[in-house]
Amino acid sequence: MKRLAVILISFIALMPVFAEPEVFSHPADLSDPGFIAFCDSFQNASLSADFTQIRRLERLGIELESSGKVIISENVGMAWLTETPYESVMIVTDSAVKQKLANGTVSEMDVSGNIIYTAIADAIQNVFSGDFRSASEEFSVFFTGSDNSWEIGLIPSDQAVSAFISYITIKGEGTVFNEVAMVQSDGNSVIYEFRNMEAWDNSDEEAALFSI
Amino acid sequence: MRKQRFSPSSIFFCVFYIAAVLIAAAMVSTKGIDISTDLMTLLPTNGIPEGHSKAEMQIAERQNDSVNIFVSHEDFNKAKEGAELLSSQLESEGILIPSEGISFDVSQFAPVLGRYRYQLLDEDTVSRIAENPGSFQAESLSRIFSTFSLSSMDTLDEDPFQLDSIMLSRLIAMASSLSPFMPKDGVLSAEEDGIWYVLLQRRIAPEHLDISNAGGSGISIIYEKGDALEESIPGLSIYYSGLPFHSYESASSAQREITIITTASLLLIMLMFIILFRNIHVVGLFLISTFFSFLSAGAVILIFFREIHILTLIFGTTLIGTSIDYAIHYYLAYAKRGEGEGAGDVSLKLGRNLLTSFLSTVLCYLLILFSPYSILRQVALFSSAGLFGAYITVRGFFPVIIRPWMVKSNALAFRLPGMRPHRSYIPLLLIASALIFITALPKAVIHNDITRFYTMSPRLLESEMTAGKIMGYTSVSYTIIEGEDERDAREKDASYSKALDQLAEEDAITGHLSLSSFLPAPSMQERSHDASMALVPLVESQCSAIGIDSGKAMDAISAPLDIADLEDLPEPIEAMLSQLVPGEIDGKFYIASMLFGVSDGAAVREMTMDHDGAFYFQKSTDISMQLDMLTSSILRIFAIASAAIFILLAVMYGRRGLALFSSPLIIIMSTIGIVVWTGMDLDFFFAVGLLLVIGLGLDYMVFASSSGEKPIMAITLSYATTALSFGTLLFSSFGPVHIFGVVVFIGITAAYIAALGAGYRRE
Repeated sequence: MKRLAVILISFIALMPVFAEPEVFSHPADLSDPGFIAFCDSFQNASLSADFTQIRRLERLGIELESSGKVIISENVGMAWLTETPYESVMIVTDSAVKQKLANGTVSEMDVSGNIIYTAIADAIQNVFSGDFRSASEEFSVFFTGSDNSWEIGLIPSDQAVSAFISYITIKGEGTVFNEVAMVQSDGNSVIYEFRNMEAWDNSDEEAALFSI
Repeated sequence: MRKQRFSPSSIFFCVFYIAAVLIAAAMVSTKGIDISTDLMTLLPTNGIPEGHSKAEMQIAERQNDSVNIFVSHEDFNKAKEGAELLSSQLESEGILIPSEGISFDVSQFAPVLGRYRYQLLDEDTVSRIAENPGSFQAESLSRIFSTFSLSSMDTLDEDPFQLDSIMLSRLIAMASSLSPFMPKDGVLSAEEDGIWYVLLQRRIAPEHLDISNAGGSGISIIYEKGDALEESIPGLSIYYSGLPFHSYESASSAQREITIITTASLLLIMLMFIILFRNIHVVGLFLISTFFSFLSAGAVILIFFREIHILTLIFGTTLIGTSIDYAIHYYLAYAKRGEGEGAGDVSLKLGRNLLTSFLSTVLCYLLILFSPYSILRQVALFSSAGLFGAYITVRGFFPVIIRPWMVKSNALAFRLPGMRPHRSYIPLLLIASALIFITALPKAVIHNDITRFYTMSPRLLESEMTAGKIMGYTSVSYTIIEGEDERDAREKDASYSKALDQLAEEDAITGHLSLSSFLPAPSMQERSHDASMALVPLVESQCSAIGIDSGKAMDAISAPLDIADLEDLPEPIEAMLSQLVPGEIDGKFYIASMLFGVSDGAAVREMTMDHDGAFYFQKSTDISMQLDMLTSSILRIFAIASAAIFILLAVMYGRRGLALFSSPLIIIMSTIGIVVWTGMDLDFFFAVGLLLVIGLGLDYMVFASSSGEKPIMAITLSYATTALSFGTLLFSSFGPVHIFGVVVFIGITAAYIAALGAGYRRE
């Protein structure tokens, strides 16, 4: 649903919006042994990384930049801990979106059973865990580069999703993501730059983190 | 021999039928005629305020053509393919009205938010702003810079506090709680236990709602196309939900039953007559009586009603048995007429008994006119008019057409042993029936359950259960709120909606759809606007933190209050919500709330009582409770009926009327006793049936107690024909009709036994 896709607009990063990236000239062959091996190389079930989010608003001509830490748990979902310029926590699971803002306000939105939300959330989870073959259920997948330096392109196949998200690109080296960008059909975008990506395994912290 | 071929009765007969047929034809030509299959019209509306009742009827009418069709498959694409094929096939045949859009979409609210965002804030947000504007500013800045946003940031220059995000978040949560179906690849779909369901929410074209449609009813074609698709796409299952499916099934079932009951009754009765009288002309006479009886009933109903309910026609089949009684009595009296007596003499001789018989039965039918059920009133008028038609046919037409050669004196009916007077065993019957009655009393339970009115077919039951499982609720009910004007109604609706939210948190309901959830009441909009004013001093610093100019934001937040109304909402949303607004009725304004999955009706009822102008429609419980009270009140009608019959008998028969009065007593006591002993509850339709039994059963006693030749054969045949007519109702799938058949069958059997015991024995 459109409105749910809007939620993900926050992922949209600054991107050259005047033309699709070159990766979209290279449809991925999902049955290609090389591509399968590439996907299989992503073994990290849970990840943590520092991120910088750059949101570019075309009409207003401004950029909003924030940074913090992201935890991508295989079991629970994603936790986005924004530290600057204003603190907030965003928890994304299969069934709900929870947000804790600077003044302590906590909001939770139950989205269980919401096809669009879960489709996108699953896709993002799949992207961050390197499961591009599962992502292909909701997106057309494109791939270019080599194991050392690669770029994945995703175009949503669902009309409702594509009405808002034009495409997603993911750039990386080896099994490390450098950048995830989401471009909206209206030209606004969000780009995430990742640093210090590493495997994350802290089940004790996980419970506390995801139960705001 | 009296030659009275054209007696006053005959002239009256002619005048009545000519007038009735002409008036009925004129009425039909001017206002048309409909056959109603809506079971809801069976239900009484007493206890419901008139305005609320009218408002509820408006809402219910809008559901009469709405259907939900769920097309399912493990593979989403197959489910989608099936749904799209079914939709296109049914649209091309004009069955389904083409859909303009696939669903309500919260993002359609964007233009409304642009214009009204500062006055559409919810209670919680207004409180947060009012309590601490600075804290709210911090909250909004962290929301803007967080990784997720609930709305486009494109409006930051007009909405620097991201109020749109808060409102959209609330609307998304609300939409998710109302339906699990979301747009996916251009269709509404949901996934449950690994199965994909694609939902077609559509309306049936008005001309295809009629089951008598020459090209087949819309529903039958939907079933036909659906079945074909299930066969052509392996693994595809289609489920159907909505009032039109139930109306179709009940009407189809009713049509079948009318055909079967009418055919069976007529065949059995005619067969009996042919065996007993060995004379096809007798059958002709009785068919003439039946024909004129139905002609009278139909004409009178057409004059007084624009719409005939299908159940009236089912109940009306009993006319076959009851109307024929007069013909039987007349024919047998004619067969045994004395030397020199003519057809007119026989009519005159029978006059008093026929009139008593007719009046006692019609009296009971007329008492049913005071019933709260419009359907029963229609049945009562139909049957009364039918009996009247039969009565004047026998009195006015039979003497004209009957001929001596129509009687075969050697027929079986005239060779059967007669009865002669004996010591009456009425006292014994009275004691026996009193014993049965008294011993049954402790077990007697007055209980009504309207769910027994109609039994779903296994297919529709499975469909509705599946639909309930997917949607998360199986019931939808309404509360209708009355206000002095629109503003008052909206304020009350908002207050009620808040109470419903509380009930949802307590799991008394699964959710609700209320106007105020989407369009805050005027007073709330005023409060929202006032709270927004507290943000004005912070606009400059907020815009500075974001890096935008504050001019537009300042203009937007400082705009004067302009209360948003229903028509200000986007068209698709206004269309959806307008279904909840019956609007002005008789000078008041009405708004409805739709309640989903009510699990604690008592809690809803209790809460509703605290809200002025609110009336909660919980039909099954309301009606059952009302029926319990009505069933009890039937006892009062019995008292009136008994007194009226007693007076009638006293007037017609003097002291002998007292003896005749034993019949109703035996009927009432034995019927109640037997029904209770067989484990049935005493419900409203039982009571109405019992009322009718008195009128029908008394006839036997009237003729049995008549002086002169004892018409035992006529009584027996009269009983047999009535028993056959009502006996066939035992096989009806409609609860009320079935119960009616059971009660009348038992009752008239008791009456017949009482008549036999009124002073006869076998010779």
